[in-house]
Amino acid sequence: MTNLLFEIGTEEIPAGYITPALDQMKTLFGELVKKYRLEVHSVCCAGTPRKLVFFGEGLPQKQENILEDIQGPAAAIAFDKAGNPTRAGIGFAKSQGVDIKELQIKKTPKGEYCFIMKRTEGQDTRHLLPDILREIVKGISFPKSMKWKENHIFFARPIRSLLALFGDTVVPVEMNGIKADRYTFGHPFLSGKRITIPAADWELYKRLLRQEKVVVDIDERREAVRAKIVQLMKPYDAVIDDEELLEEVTNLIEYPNAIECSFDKEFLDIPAEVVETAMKEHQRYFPVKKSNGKLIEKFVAVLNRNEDNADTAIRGNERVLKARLSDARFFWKEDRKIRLEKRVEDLKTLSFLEKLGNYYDRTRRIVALSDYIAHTLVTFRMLKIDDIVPVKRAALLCKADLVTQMVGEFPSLQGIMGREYAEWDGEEPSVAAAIAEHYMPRFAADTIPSSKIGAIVGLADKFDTISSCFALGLIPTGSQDPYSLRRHAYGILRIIEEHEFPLGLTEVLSQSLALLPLFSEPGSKHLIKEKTTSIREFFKDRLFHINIERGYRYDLVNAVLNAEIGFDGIHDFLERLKVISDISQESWWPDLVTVVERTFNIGKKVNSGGSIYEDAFTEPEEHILWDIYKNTEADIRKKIDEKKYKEASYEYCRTFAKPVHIFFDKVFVNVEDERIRNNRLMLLKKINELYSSKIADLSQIIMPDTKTSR
Amino acid sequence: MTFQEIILKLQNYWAHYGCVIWQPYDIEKGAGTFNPATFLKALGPEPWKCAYVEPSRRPTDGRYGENPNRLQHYYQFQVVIKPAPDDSQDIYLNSLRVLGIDLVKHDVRFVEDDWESPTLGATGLGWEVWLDGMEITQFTYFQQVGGIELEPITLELTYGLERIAMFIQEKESVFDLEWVGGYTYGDIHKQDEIQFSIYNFNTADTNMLFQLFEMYEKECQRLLKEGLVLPAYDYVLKCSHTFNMLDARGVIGVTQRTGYIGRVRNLARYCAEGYVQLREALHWPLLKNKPAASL
Repeated sequence: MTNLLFEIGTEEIPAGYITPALDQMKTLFGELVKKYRLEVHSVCCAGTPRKLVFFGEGLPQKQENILEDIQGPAAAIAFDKAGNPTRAGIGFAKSQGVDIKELQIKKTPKGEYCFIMKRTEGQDTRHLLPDILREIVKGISFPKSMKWKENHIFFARPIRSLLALFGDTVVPVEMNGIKADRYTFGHPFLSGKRITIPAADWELYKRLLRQEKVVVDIDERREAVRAKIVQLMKPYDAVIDDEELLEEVTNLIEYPNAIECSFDKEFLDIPAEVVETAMKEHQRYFPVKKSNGKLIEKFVAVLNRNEDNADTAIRGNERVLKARLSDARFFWKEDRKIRLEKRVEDLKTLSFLEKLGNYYDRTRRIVALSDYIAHTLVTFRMLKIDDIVPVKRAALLCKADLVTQMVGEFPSLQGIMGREYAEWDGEEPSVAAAIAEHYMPRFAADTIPSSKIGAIVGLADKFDTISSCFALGLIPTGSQDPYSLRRHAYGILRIIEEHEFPLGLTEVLSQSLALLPLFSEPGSKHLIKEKTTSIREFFKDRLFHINIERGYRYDLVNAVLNAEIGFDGIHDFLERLKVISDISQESWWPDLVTVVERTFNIGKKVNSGGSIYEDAFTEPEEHILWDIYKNTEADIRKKIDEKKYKEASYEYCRTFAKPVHIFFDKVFVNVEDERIRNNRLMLLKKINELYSSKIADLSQIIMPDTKTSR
Repeated sequence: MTFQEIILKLQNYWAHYGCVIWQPYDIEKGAGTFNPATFLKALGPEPWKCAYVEPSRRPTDGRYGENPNRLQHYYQFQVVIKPAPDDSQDIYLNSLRVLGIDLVKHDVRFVEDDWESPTLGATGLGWEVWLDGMEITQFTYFQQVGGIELEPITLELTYGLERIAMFIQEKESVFDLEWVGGYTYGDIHKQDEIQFSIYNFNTADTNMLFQLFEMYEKECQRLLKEGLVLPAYDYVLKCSHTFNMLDARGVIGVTQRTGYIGRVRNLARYCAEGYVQLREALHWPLLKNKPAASL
């Protein structure tokens, strides 16, 4: 067993590319090992901006041999009656490169046939490795790749060296004019040395690099940076609160270190989010915040350097931040000279999507839709009538900060600057807060708007984006979702769910679509209907996926999605799903499913809406079941209307499980007489629909198979 | 080290490396990349090494001389090498050493930067080079110019001369830089910043600029038809600067903006294609400078 060490030496690869590239190297190697009939005991990876390293432990010296039986012609064809080989027999032996004597005759289900035992000798691993390593390099894909020489290997950044050792031998591989060798390189500034690696020894390799100021192991480097930052922050009672940033800076350096820097206290007058963004977005600095969340005039920068001469780096970084904060303060001062209200008009200069006008038009649509949603909620007593004015105000101002200089410079501050400027202008605090909140949730784990005003404007904004894109046919497909419509749908779902808004999807969508200039013609009704249907399908798909991700069983999600009442009331849908998932654990669940399923299957034969004719009953069980239905229907419906789904389910099950079972036992439904038959079918259908149209279509449930589970 | 010494040292260093010491091109432009010594010469297989100072205009970056770090007119030091050498990073780092920057003392970082010039139809991959956190150079391996995939690849280095000088001289404001004994950067350029900011943002005649854009575009198209690629390219530069002026005056909407950029890009693309044909017809004369080994 021999080890393999492979290092791709590069110019600085973008931080975000490193870990994914290493993961791909592992996967590719795994596939190649299989393809080349090798094996490997374990693999690990390491990397810095200048090195992608792969280590495989315990590779065999040789590829596995292959022994295979190759079937030839039937024995009767290959040999004549005297047992002498025929032309066919000789031909087969020749084609396989063996002597005719090596042909064996074996019995198969189809008769006797000629066979040859063929043995392919495994090749030496070291002869296979050049191809394997080449395939790894060519197989790694990056978000963006480049060429750097007159050749056609693409990589994230130029490859400048290759180290490839199998045991203590260099693997003779050459790519882009670079021959692999046994050399790696120390830190370009702190060492500058070329390091000779004697053999594929993981610990030795890492140690030799560490001696030359390169910590090649990502975890080790991250924890070293973390320790240093924590140490610098400790006196201020501050902690690292951005793991993503830590991960990124870890992959910007080879030697882990950090320095404490300061800035002028006067910059703390600028909103804290601005200062933090100026630090993080471009410079990757860590803000220092007291335990109460208050920013202080310090920051931490990582350093690809040891302690010596740290003060020049401190001064340099302080100067850079000062320039950025000065710019930010200039914008903060200038932007406040114009009221947000006045900027709404300027949104005309900001185009939205082709054919859909600009952000001013969009603002007007958001206002109109917010107004509609607010009025709907007032009807349901979910919103005070006095809140309609601030809702419309927040909707009017929600995009105005897009034309401020600050948001131009720091786009991620959209909404936040709107809030700050609105407060400055003296807008209601609820309006200012809603401006910032309407973008939420910005990512999956983000919180949703806490205020109803923010939630309403947020919904209007998201619905408008989705409607606009669908109107233009910009529909997400596969992994393509350039306008983040899935994220918007997810946001809508979360807001409706957590604020328990009783909104009807179809109604909101038709309102939203009707506001678009494309559909403003009187004759656009059918177009709106068409688009509403396709957006509904999109939401159905989203509801399915989101709830699967949340851990719901897919058959339960399908059952609730496909109930006739559907998912138009998103909040109600989620409630029902919760209940169904809940009662699927109850002891009476199988009985409930059985009732709905049996009545569904047989009920397929008639259309709904028919009447029951008592005079067509011929059996006592029919009368009994019909009486039970008449006596309990109203009560069950009432419970459903009150959204007491669990009680309704239980009562339905308790009421119908037994009589339906007896009915099927005693009454033959498919009799010749059409009137009698249809009457029976209709009775069962009514029982089915009482549940499956309003709560969940349990015929979609897949019950665990008791036979296989035994 | 004075501002002009920095320029002289860089010129010497790159002259010694074998670069043609070119001169600024005499038409307004946003960056050294627009100089035909970069844009056109990056095309085709002919080897090319060249370095020059480029006065660059970015009307929207004007701050009336009030911001110590922003200018509507500034200087770049531009180096282009085709094909990109294997030791690109080393020769660049050596140029910093020549400027007296101690790379053991300071934190040098190559920070990811996917460079793109939509008006020139040019893209490249490389880095911003940071010196103690400050961006001092754009280091780019061109991939595409004028919409044409490059073969071989050209290396472009763009030094921000003011930033490097501020770093070396440890100045907080660009206007305090010492150009040469007795003259600061502010002595020489402060009034320009004030006057041109006023002109760019408030005074420029937008009707005239709109007309000029149309005229320049037509002339460029006409020259291209005549096969006069090099004069045609001058008009690409004029269009681009006129567009920048209109942009600074805030009279171009976002949608329109995309349209104007597209028009300039089209012109640039035709010039690039025309230039390739022109050189090809001459059988790529500069191939004579290609090192024999790689022929």
